[in-house]
Amino acid sequence: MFKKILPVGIAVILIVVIAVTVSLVKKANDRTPTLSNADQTYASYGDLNLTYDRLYTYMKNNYGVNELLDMVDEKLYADELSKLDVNSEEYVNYVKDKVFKTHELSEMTDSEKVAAQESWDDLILSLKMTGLLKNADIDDSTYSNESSKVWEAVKNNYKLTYVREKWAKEAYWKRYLDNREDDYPFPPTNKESSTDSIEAYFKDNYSGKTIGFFVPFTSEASAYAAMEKYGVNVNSTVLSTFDGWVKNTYNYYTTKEPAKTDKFSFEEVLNIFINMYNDNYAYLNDGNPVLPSDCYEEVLLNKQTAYNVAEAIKNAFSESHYGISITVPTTVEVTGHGNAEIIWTVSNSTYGKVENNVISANFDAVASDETEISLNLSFKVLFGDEDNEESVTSSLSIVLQGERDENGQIKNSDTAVTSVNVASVDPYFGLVLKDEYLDEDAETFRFIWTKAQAEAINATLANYLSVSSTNLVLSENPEEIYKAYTGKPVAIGDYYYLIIKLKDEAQPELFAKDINGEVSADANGKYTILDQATYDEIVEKKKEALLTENAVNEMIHTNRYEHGLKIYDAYIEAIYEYQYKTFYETTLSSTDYNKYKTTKKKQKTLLAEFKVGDDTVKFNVQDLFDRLEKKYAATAVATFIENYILVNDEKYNKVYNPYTNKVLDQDAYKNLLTSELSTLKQNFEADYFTYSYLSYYGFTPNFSHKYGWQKFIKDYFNAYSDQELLATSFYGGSIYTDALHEYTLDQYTLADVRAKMEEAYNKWFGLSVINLIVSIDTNYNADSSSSSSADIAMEEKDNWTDEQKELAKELASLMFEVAKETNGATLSDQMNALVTLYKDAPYYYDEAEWNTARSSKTSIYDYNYFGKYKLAGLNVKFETANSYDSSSSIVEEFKDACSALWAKANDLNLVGTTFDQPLFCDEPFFTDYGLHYIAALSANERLDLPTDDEVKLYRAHKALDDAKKAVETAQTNIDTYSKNGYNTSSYQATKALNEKKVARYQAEWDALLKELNLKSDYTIPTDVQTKIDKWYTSAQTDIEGGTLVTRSYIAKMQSILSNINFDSNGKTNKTNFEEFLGLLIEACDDSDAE
Amino acid sequence: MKLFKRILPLFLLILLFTTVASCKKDNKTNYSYPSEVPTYTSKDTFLKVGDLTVTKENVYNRLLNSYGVETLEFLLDDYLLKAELTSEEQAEFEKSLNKRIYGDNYNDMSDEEKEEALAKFEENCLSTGLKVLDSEKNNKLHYENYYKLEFKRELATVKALKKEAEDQNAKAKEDSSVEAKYAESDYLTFFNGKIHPLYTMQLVVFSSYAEALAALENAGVNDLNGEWKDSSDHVYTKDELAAIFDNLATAAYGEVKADKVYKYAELAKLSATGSTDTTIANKVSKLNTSELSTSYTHAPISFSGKWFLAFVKSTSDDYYYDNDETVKFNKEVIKEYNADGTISKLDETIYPTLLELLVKEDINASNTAYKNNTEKVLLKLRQDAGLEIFSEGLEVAYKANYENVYSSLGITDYDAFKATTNTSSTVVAKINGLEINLDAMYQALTDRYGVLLSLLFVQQYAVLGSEYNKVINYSTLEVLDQTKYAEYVATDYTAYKEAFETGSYEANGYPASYGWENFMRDYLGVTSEKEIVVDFSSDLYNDVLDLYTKALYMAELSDVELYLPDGGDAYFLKSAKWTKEYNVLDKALVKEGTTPTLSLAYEEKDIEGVAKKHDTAGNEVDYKKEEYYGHFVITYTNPEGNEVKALTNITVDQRVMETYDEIYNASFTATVSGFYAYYDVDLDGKADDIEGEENLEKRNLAKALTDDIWYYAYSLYQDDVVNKQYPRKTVLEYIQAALRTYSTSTDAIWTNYKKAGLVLATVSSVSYTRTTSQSEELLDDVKTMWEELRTLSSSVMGQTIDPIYRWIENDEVKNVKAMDIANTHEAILSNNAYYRLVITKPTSITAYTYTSSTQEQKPNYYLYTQYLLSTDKRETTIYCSSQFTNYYNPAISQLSSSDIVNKKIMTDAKELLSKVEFSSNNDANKDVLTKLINASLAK
Repeated sequence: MFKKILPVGIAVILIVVIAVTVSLVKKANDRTPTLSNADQTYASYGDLNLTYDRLYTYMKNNYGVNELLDMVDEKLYADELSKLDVNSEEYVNYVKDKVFKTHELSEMTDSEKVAAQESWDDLILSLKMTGLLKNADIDDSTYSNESSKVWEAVKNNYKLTYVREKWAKEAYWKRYLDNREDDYPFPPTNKESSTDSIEAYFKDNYSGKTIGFFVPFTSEASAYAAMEKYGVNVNSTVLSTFDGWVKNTYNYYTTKEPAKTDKFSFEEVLNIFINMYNDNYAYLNDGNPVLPSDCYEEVLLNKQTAYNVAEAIKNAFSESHYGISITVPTTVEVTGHGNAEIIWTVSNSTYGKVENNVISANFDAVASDETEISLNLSFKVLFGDEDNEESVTSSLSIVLQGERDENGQIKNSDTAVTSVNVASVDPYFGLVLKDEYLDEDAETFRFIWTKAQAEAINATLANYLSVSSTNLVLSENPEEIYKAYTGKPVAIGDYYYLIIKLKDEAQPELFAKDINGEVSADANGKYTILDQATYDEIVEKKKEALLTENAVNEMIHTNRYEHGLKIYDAYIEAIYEYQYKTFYETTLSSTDYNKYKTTKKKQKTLLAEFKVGDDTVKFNVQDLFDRLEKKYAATAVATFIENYILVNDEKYNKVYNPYTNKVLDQDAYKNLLTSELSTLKQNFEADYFTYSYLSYYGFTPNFSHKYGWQKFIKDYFNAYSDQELLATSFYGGSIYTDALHEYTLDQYTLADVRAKMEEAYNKWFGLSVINLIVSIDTNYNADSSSSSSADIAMEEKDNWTDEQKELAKELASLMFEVAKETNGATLSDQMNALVTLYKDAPYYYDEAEWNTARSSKTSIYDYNYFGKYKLAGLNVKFETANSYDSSSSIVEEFKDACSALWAKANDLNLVGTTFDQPLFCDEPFFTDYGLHYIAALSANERLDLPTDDEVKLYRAHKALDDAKKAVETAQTNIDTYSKNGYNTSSYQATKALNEKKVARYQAEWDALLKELNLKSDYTIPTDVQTKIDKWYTSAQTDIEGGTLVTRSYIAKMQSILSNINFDSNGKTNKTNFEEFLGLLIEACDDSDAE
Repeated sequence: MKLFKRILPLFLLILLFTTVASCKKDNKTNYSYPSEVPTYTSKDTFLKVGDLTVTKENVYNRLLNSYGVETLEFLLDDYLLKAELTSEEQAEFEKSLNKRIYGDNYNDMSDEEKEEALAKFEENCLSTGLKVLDSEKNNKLHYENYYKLEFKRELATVKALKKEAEDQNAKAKEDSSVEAKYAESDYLTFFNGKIHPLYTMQLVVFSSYAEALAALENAGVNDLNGEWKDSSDHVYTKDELAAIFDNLATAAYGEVKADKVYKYAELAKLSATGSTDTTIANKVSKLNTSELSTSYTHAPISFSGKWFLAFVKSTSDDYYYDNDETVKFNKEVIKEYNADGTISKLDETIYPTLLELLVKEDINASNTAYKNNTEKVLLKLRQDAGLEIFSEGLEVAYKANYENVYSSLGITDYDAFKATTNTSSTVVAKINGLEINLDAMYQALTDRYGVLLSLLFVQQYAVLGSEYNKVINYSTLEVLDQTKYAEYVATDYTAYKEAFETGSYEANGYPASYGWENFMRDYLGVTSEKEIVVDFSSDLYNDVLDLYTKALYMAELSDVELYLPDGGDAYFLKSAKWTKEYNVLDKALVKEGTTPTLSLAYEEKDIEGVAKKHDTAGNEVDYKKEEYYGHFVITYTNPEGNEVKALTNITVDQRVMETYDEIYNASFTATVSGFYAYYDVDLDGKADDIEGEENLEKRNLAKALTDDIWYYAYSLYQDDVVNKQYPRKTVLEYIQAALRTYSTSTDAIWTNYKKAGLVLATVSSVSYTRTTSQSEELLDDVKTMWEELRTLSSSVMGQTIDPIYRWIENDEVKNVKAMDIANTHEAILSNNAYYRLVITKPTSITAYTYTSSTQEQKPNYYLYTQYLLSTDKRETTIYCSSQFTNYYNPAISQLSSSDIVNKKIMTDAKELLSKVEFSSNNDANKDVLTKLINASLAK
């Protein structure tokens, strides 16, 4: 339970190679301050005498470093701790994040709530086991009652972690800022750093917002059906030939082009989008429209209005020839919205000029007989008020014309047009959803999008609903407004979307820019921040990213260092030094850091000291003991008694009893001392415990031979002598492990294994299954091609309504019922055809029609049965045959359904065949992925269970076989190493030990064969081995791997409780130990429940 | 390749010995031709055709190089396998001969059919040189004797290979490293796959799954998993099952059909998409009556759009070999079954029989396998009998075949053929106990192939003896045109010789040191330069044949008559080669009492005196060469007494142009979709024959179904396409919807058709042209639709009009609806099915004439002569290549097909018969020759 396992295979090799090369270092530095009452008994039972020293050594080994560091930090952060308001929102949220991984407890789904309570219960149990929470203090153990005493205890528990982290972050930030050379916390622009600057972050994350929305359809056909329903002409040629949606009053086959009245205005298009949206999303809004008819409003668009003005001006200039000069308008009235200003220029200025609002030709620049001059005019239309003025630049060519008199002088002709006027122009209004629909955090009905939000649905959607989209563009030309919506459905994820964009809200610039559009600094090298709020937000986000766990830990380490922490216990120091060094050198990959300096001093009782201000704080060994005892003494006592119960029992330990120092089997004892201990000792002497790879196995490799062997086995394995190592769980020596093996076998019977095997046998299935899945997708982000498609499906598990659940069942049954109408050759063919039919079905439902069609059995090809379910937001998917068996990683409900199907097949004698007809599960069932309706196509045969005799034979044979193999391996090693002149005594000992085992197991095997009337050359037949592998092995692992042994120990301890004696000065007594045993049972129950 | 062989296969259909192209090059470097070889040098006459005389030597040489090996083997094997057949073997042989003559259905044939089969067989025998007359029954070449030897060869092969297999099996038993030739699993696989009982059963077929399920439900079967039970879980008894199947049959066919006994082979034809398809057969053949629950299908088995349910009521005690029903086993030889119904253990006593069948299967796996396997055995037999071949050419050929057999079988470890070092001038070959001398060989060769070779000479005479050969006199070999002759010598003789001398034939076994004279005789079968020039597929022959062929359709002055019909007003040109007559001259233009004459124009001088033509401005213009080249010119006296020369539009290639028009007028190309209805009562997946008066009612019903489906599909189309402006479905989809209704509906309006066995299938975007293999009526109908579309507008051509197409013409919007066009047409019978087709895309065909803004050109005789020249040699540019490719050349091909040319040659040959004289057996040989010619003409 608490042991570490040595990497034996590697160790053995190293031992032999290194053992001969090192000399033993006898003297070691014993720097271990001890308790004053070290030799006193803390607890005893029978021959077990648990002294204070042994108890302390054990607790120090397991928890010493962390507890000591907490003690240190409590002093270092005493101020912060004293100032901490445990009821502050910030702190409470911190605790919630730690415990529940979120602080938004009210927003948790049902399943998250269940998980939260489980975490809470686990936390309570661990607090109780470490004495931080008393049963009496538990008034309400529901996590949601934040005023409970339990909550108080939990809050207390996180105080130090919190203040330490908070301090570290602040300290790190301060140090960071101190080290920056400019006045900015991060490189402000890409000039300083193109990857890490605020400007870069801004570009990547602040892309503006787009107002618009999409309507999802399960197929292109169903999208067209919806468009058709609202009068859109969905003729494919019409859709691809003409700009924007055309009404279905237009007949492509009889009329050349749609008339203006055949085309939808943008407002009409928007209304169709709104209608389609309302149709498809009503189920998420209690059947009501999401967007009412007045959901949008008109907004005057200056740019588009200016464009209209420019077009009106161009129209006003016909192809007529004008006189030698014309007056052009400088303003045009925009009906009801003031005037637009017009500014004129002549591009080919050699031939003409503009003065005031008169454009005149320069006939001097042409031949004397020319009477016409072409002028290229540019004009800029400005519209809007000062704060919101937009301009459009346009150009046109005109011909000025005059007549020449007899002298060749130019003059206006009689028919000259001398001025061009433009009547008033209509303003252009954009259509924008009202503010109430523009909730930027909306989950379900979203109409305003950042690029990231669109990407969260599907990366392709962001190519439409984003300011930078080139697919949907709000053109300044009102004639091109059709570019703001998708003319045809667009395939995105598992859907076809129709998407409309109403407005782009570009992100305001963060920094002032020069005329080239580059961010520019002023003469002092300062940038002008235009959007301080965003700037601050970015800084905050970058700061958050900077303050990583490593940053925090670095500051904590630094802080302890700066306070001159010294540790006088060699073991704790070794562990701390290793952690310290690993943190800097491995985690931070740093070489330039303040090294922890080990102390040389030996202290009698002083454990650690450090400075706080001018004071030196000192902790004695007793201080640490007191702290550890409070939390871990009961655990420790239980652990020692467990070891005693096992090792002291001669039924299981037939070699050596360390509690009485009695040798029970001299040969085995000697051999073990050689085979296990001599090699370990040699390894230690060879500095094996400084090899860094050992950390992989959970060892701290900071114990060189200088540490001293006796001290090492005591501190590391709680063994006070070499012999003890053989029998302690802390090391896992053979006496202990062999005894545990025998003991474990004694804790259950063959009948127990049989029960387990039968349980597995009864649950077993092996099937080829087809699977119809009805799912929902409230945010319409399903994407079968995505690697996270299963997770996407899972996200919806709590979103099902009861109505949807009912309809899903109805749909699944309906699909299997009508499958035959498709005439597919197999059910899979039929279901695939139906899924296509479903996807293509229009979103339409009329209850009366539907019922009539059903009762008159109208064909699925002649009536749309599926619209009903589509309007409820149900999707269908079909998975063709997959093979599953009880070991497949599938969700429980699916497993149960498969299991039931297999049983059904078994009843029908169909096992081992491919069925003539698929075998359906009794009824559809739900999993986290949705509703499933499954059917089996074939069922595999189930392997029989092994008989008791077969199990016995297997066990006996395995024991014998393992021992024989161990002998063989030892012999091989002896042969190999003796050839090279190495000492092979450890192998000789191993061999001798196992030979003894062989003799014993052989006798048992022979007796068993005799008992079962089997020949002496009997071997386990392959089919029996197959059955054992299939059923027995896992049943045995299940039983032994559970809490069986622990529970037996607990029971034993409960029964001997009266015989356990505790030192009255200790904090552990019979009462609280009994209570602790109760907690252990609770922990076992928890573990079994998992 | 040998000259002789290049033409012979036209007439000799089988038994050709394949020349080895890839013989191993052996050590011939120091080769020297034997000091003596047996040569047949008799200058006696073998045959006379008119003034052509063919000597015996000539005949021997030609036949030896082509059929020497085969004839030698025949003589050797006849000797080696002379032992008489046992009575059992004799019976077996008679059975096999019977099968060879009458096929598998002897017992079902009427006397008339038997007679017909025998006559056909005898005709084939004659064409391969075998004898058929009763009076020749003792002749080794009488087919009975000939095929008996074949049978003996096979017997010997089976015996030898069987022994080989047995030996190997025995070895494998002793030595595990040796793989058995046939292991137990092979016998089981073979038995399971090829040996079956007869199944007496009720088989019901539905055209849809829904229909099958409905019928099952009505019959009281609700759960198809496992045994059939009623609603109270009572498992149906055998009698009840029989009643259920009767109900199912009534649902499917409207009547209960009697149980039928099926052979496995018949099951394999059920609904077959190819010649056989074993999906159903494999399922049904695993049904067995050992238990009731395993004797019927528990759920419909789907295959090829049909749904099968079968109830095997009994299986025969005997199991029959699929390939030969006379081989049978009693079911007691089956010892155990697998769970899936296959056999897992057999009585081992039948292994020897199975081994023999397996050997035969191996041998008969293919014609090549048969040939190689038997040859392998016989080559060894002959080799063991001490074969020596003294005729060098024969030995080379035999050796090549020897090596080829082993290499084809993938055998590398074999005894090499040992060429003899002995020589003889009289003995062709020998084995222990038999010597074949020159006379015997000559006799054997001519007995079988003499008449066949004679026919070749007669045909050759018909061609090379014709007026078109102006190079050398075929009979006397007198050179008529020295220059031309020299050219032919250069291409045919000299080139050959040079190739030989540079070692090109070494790989075939003839190194240069073989000697040219020897090579000519042994490899080509001729002895002189002139013989090569006039040989059967020499360049000269081909050139003359071209002229001979051209004369079949190209008019000449002598073919064409200018005539005035009695009481007619105009003169006409007519020719037997044309299908029409052409009005060329008004009678009124000719002075009474005078007769116009005809000439042909090829050069300018030929049209001197012809009045010039005028251009649009009225100026005189010369005729271009293509306007007169090959045209007929009429010279006549006008009423004023002046001689007038007039150029006609009629040309020597008039027949070609007639055919050009026919081809153009028949051409179309269109993509069509649609459907067809046919009967498949025997469930073989193919349309049952519904031709003949007796099937009128059936045809009417099939047509009615076609119409009903059409109207249904058309109404769906109408709803969508006519009433809406945005159809998103294709014509095929509307048709498929109608078909789906047919297959899934249990409505009475459709069940009558289903009960009659009518089946529907779609035609999905198939390209139709005149050469599509459908009836002319159907192709004409598609052509008519195509024509309608073409007439509608050229804009439609090349467009997908499915389901509707619009275009703008003169600013007016027009449209065409694919199904509307087809709707005015009727269902048409073709290949035993009624079709309703819709053109979904009409495609333009090559224009009748080439037209561009500056040029208009149509193939004519002058352009054709230019077209045949390489581009750099032409006097004019050819624009109308496509017209040549698509119409003119096909017209020529049509008029000069090998059938037509052969018929002409055979007709000429028949006329020559009176001039044919064999030096021996004249009457009998001429009789056979006559039969061969008549048979060829009758085809």
